[in-house]
Amino acid sequence: MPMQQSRFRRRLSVVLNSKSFQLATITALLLIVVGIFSPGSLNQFNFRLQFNFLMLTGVVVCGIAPLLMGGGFDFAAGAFGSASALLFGQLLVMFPYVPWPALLPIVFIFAVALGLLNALFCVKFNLVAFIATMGMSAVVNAAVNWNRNAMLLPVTNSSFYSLGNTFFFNVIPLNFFVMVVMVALYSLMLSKSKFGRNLMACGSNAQAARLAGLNPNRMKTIMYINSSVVGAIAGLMAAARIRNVGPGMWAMAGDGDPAMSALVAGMLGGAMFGNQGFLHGALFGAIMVRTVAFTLIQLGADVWVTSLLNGAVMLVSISLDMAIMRIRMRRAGVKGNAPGTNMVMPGVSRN
Amino acid sequence: MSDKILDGAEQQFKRVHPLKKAMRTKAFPLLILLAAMVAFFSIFAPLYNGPHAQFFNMTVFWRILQDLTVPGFLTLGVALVLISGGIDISQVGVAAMSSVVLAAGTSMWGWPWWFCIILAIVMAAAVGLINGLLINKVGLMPFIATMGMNLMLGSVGMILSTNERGNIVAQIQYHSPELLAIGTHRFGEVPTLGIFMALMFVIYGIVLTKSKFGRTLYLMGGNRAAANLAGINARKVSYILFINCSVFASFAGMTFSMRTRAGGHGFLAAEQFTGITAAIMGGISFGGGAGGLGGAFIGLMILRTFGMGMLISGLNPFLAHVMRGALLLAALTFDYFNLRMQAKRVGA
Repeated sequence: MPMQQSRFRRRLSVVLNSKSFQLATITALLLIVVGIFSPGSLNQFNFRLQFNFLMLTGVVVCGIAPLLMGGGFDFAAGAFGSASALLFGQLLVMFPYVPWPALLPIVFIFAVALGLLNALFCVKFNLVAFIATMGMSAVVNAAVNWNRNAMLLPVTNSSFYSLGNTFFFNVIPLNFFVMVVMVALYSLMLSKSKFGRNLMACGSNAQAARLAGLNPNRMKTIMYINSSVVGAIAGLMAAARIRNVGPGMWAMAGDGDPAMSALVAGMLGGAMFGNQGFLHGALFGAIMVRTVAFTLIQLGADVWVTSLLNGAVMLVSISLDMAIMRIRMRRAGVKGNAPGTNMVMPGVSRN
Repeated sequence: MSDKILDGAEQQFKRVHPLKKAMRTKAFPLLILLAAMVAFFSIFAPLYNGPHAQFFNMTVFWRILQDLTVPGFLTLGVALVLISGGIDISQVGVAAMSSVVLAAGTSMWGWPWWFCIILAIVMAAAVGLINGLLINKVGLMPFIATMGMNLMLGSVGMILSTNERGNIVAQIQYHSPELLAIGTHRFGEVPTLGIFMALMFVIYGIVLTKSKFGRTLYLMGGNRAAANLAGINARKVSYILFINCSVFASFAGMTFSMRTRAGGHGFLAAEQFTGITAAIMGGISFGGGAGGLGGAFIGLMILRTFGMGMLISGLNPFLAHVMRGALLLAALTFDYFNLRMQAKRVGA
């Protein structure tokens, strides 16, 4: 008779087998390699840079990953973020004597309106989320460009931008903690709350969820609004750091398309397969992608190596993921395809 | 009793007039939209931008056809993959790589132009084969496999465009009279490559609707399991489609390179989703099994006619971009209402 495992050991094995742990291990190994070969590069400046990038990706993941789990996708989170930040910048110019937190409700109402528009197309009209949100992103981006004639708008409110330029121990930005708290809350919401479980049920089988008395459309609408608001938060964070809002602010913040980075992070963290990955997995995925690029640059690799390895890391890690899942399913005696096999693109599965 | 059943069957499957049948396809409303757009810009452009801005003439039409060549090749390749239930977003990477091969081959390495063309096509086919392997052998989802491939192709482009001093050249200029002649050849006003692209659409359209191979694609996209049970080698077809898609992407990149007399690893980045968008607008659905090439071509025409119309009208370019995105959303939404109306008519 097999010995009953102690509770502690069971918990330990769950942690050791988790996606986040694997990704964190790879990250730590990479950092050790950098530490051995180029110890000078593990300095304050570089860490600050990495944290500033991660902060944005981490926040956007809070919007994209739940949508992916619920069977949707939002390409427009970045565009909505820059539009909301631009609105905030314009409001600051218009009302210079109003304290800036008083302007935030207007910005968030605007973001909710944009999210509702996304939900109108993707949920009510049942359009393909990928293309419809891409259209929305194109419209909003072009409107932002039109408004500012493709120029950035500087933010001069010192109490606002000091928020983005305050660092703990001279390394960790203040907003990074905001991101960590957000990821923790969303992660708990998804894994422990009823709403989170219902959302995952809708993502894996909308028909069954409907028959079980859930309302997938309402849930998706909420998640689209959430993604837009979260995008606005990321936009404000980026604005506070780079002291500029408007067209091209994401490129200036070092992340050309936050929705795309969040998608890659979500895929590495397993968020796409619904049942397995959680939000912290996506966060660790983002950390690993950044660390790979950082390691390569510090070790003096050419630019092309970074791009090549980013693609290769994605392909290899997801292939391994699927292979492991297949083996586990075979062991458990479950028949059929691994979850996610029928996915054509985020939010669309094969007929 | 059997008569009764036959009667019922006859009523259900009574012959529909071909014209009526054509009117019920997804492409028909798009055709009306296109006609309305042409009519609108013919009136609007001279009014808004002065009498010199004439939209409705053959010069503009041929210009649109010439502009369509590059996105046309992209659409043709990806439309077939979409119909079979896959997706390919590595097209832009292949196109950029092909443009680099042409540019670097003729200028930096001194190879003959025809060899560069062949090399570009062979490399593109190899990429398509790898895509097929990743999807069919490794079992990755098409979206992820081709997205990773796209990232990796970017670095292949960078390696190829590294000059002898070790710098990556963003835009390699080259001078090759033959390639320029191929890219910009015209019969009178008619762009030759544009006609070639349109001809390809016709040929592939016929293959898709009339041949056994074409029907196989629809079956694969509609129900992969049923296709397997029907004895169709879905994997083999998938390899063919991905290779075909990459080769067409290579055509697009080479055409662009011949016309601009340059090549670069970041070329055509703005066209990342043009092909997919046009195909979806034309009635091909994600997940496969529906739509045709005629609709995709009309979708492409609408996108480019709208852009050209706004250019000739002299609208603010940023506003034009807003309108272009709005047109895409409007066309997709229109499709939704159209489907709902059809469902109501059938009584489903």
